[in-house]
Amino acid sequence: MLELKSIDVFYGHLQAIWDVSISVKSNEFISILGSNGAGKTTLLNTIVGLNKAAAGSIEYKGIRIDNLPPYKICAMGLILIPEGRKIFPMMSMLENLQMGAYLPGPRKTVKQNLDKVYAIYPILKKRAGQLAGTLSGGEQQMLAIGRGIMSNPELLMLDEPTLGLSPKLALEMLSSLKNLHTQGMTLVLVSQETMQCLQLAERAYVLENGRVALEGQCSTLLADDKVRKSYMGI
Amino acid sequence: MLSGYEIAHGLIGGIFVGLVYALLSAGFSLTWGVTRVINLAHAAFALIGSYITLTLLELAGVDPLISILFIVPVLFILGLGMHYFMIKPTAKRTKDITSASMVLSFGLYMIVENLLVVIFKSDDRVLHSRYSDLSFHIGPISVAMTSVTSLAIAVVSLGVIYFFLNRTYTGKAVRAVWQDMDGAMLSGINVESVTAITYGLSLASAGVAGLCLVLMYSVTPYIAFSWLIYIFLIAIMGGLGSIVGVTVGGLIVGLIVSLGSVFIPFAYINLVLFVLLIVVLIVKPTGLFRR
Repeated sequence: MLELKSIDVFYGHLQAIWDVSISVKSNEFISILGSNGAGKTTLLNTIVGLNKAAAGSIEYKGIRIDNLPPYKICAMGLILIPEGRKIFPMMSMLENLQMGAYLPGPRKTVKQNLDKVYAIYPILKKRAGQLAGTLSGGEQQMLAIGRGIMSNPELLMLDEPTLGLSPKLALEMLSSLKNLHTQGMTLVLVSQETMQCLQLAERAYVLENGRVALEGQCSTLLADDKVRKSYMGI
Repeated sequence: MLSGYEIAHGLIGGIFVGLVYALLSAGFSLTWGVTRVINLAHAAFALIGSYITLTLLELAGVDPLISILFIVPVLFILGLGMHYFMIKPTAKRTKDITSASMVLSFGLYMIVENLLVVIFKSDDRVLHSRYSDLSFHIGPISVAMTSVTSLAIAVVSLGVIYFFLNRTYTGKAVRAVWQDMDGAMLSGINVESVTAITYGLSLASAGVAGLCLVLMYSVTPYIAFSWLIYIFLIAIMGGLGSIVGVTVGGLIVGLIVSLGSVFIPFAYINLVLFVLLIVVLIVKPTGLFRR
């Protein structure tokens, strides 16, 4: 479904991503792991067109997308829930969700998608009129994911969705992702919560200093000594 | 001794002037908020609206109300042009678009002002429309029909902009780009075209404000500078980001000017305004109506 072939990404003269190849198949649940500064966010931003790759290619559903602007990539159903949520603080919760359905395609399914979002996160329905900036951290994260769901995603990528959440909320957040996957969504989850990600996802890539250091089935990686030592402190 | 009549007159005058200035400032606040561009040429574009109104009336007898239909598309296209040929290429080459845009738009302001001098000469121009000799009575106070007309235009225009920003998808997208550019891109908003529309809307509303102002006052090509000062005051007081804020800011400034001239000599009014501006900037730098 998504195919990255040897991509390089630069910030000015600094190279942040080196020769990274990743592939995601339809209905898969992939996790991308790595410590702070490993290049996870840069990689996701490059896939959706916020950054440009200097070399290599990105294909989505067989179409080259590495030169498309973000809104065109969004229109193809490849959606990123960004790190830090990036919601619109001075707009109401409902208006935020409506913005997720800005494109002509999703705008036709606003009602169904709203029901879907409210079914996953019932608390959002109660907050419909509230300014998004006044929501709690957990609610803002739900809103960010809800906004993504409003865009009719086929492949949903989430960048650190549990960041800043209490352990209990983080678990609820991750189990809501599991549900989305069971309902047929293809997911890419980026997180520093190595243990939980490896238990949830099917396959994982481990990034180190902008390169793929390890990849494989989560069960294999969970048993790997190096992974256990470097990322789980066991 | 001040009479109630004088105060009432000042109050009504302040509301009229304030709402027209609010319309003049709305577009300025919009482009500043959405694209971090401070458009010093904003008032000059309003003046283009004034001169279009004058010219259409004098050459073809077009009613000022009808000339709105001409001003809005012309200024909208000028706004698109400003975005595509000036702001967009500059924004690509600089990290500090705010400073760059001030220098750039100051140059644009000079060009527009000089073009207006070349075409229309620098004489004072007064609009003589069929409203000019009529007046409207609120109790004992009479208000010129021209002022009533421009108030009506200003209120309707502010209402239209408010409706656009808060009730339509495109308008909400303008606010979204304003609040979080990356978030807007990831939601599928074409930031480029939304920005272009913002410029079109900004200059179109300036043009309509110029029409309102030429209904009330005489104009010369040099008057845009004094308008610009009011625009700054109102945009900063109202805070960037809300039409309601700009409207209240306009009313405050209008009332201070109009009521102030009842109590103190007119020459001191700008002094009061700018002391107030400095106080606002020190006490609440984000404007009176921004959290």
